[in-house]
Amino acid sequence: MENIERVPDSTAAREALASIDVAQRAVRDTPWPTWLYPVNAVLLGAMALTALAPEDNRFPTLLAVAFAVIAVNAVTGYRMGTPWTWPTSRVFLVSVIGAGLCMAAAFAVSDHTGPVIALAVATAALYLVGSVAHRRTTGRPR
Amino acid sequence: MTAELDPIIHPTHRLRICAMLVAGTTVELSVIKDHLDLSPSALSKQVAALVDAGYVKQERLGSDTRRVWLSMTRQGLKAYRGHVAALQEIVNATTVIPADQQS
Repeated sequence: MENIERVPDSTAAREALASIDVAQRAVRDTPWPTWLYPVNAVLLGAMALTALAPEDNRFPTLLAVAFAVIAVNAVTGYRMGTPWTWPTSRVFLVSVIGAGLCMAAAFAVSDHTGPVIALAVATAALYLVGSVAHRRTTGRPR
Repeated sequence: MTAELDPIIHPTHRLRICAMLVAGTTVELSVIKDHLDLSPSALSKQVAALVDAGYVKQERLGSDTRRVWLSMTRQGLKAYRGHVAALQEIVNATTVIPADQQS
């Protein structure tokens, strides 16, 4: 049975908590392969463009593209060894949320081709902006 | 102190391993090795201690059985959270009184 020889003082406790933060950031900021960013941007843009699909095909098409996004990222995550981590970059996370909102807006204006295309481009562009921030936080894969 | 330090999780490397698993849910052993300055045998020893305590689960998933995946068990998560809460209590218990308020 293991015992704690000495209860940590506040300095040691603070250092332990800091080491937790460092360890978690290291895992969450595992570098992504470079190709993943443009592929995700294209797929997210494609998801927004499914708003232009005929109404009876729209939902299955959206589901198929969404599945592709999930599959690409899950397989890549498993190859990296960290399939379920969220990056720490707030800029990236905000960009992804923004991209999601543009995607949702595309479905709100699905009767108008021009705005849907513009929103699809905005979806991809926002994601790419976030990608730059993410790459800056994580560096290149080793 | 209401929360309790856990003697299994307390050693620095084990605490960091648990922290990484909490952040990543399921993490491959090689990723943990890359981020800890431990030899493979030393890392195995630390992981084995956590597995033996029932805090960490070790699996080989899918077709590539060379890859070892680690994740926290429910018991391990509870122990980790209690340990972190205890560390937080130790830090919070030290109140620094500003010089101009000291009598």
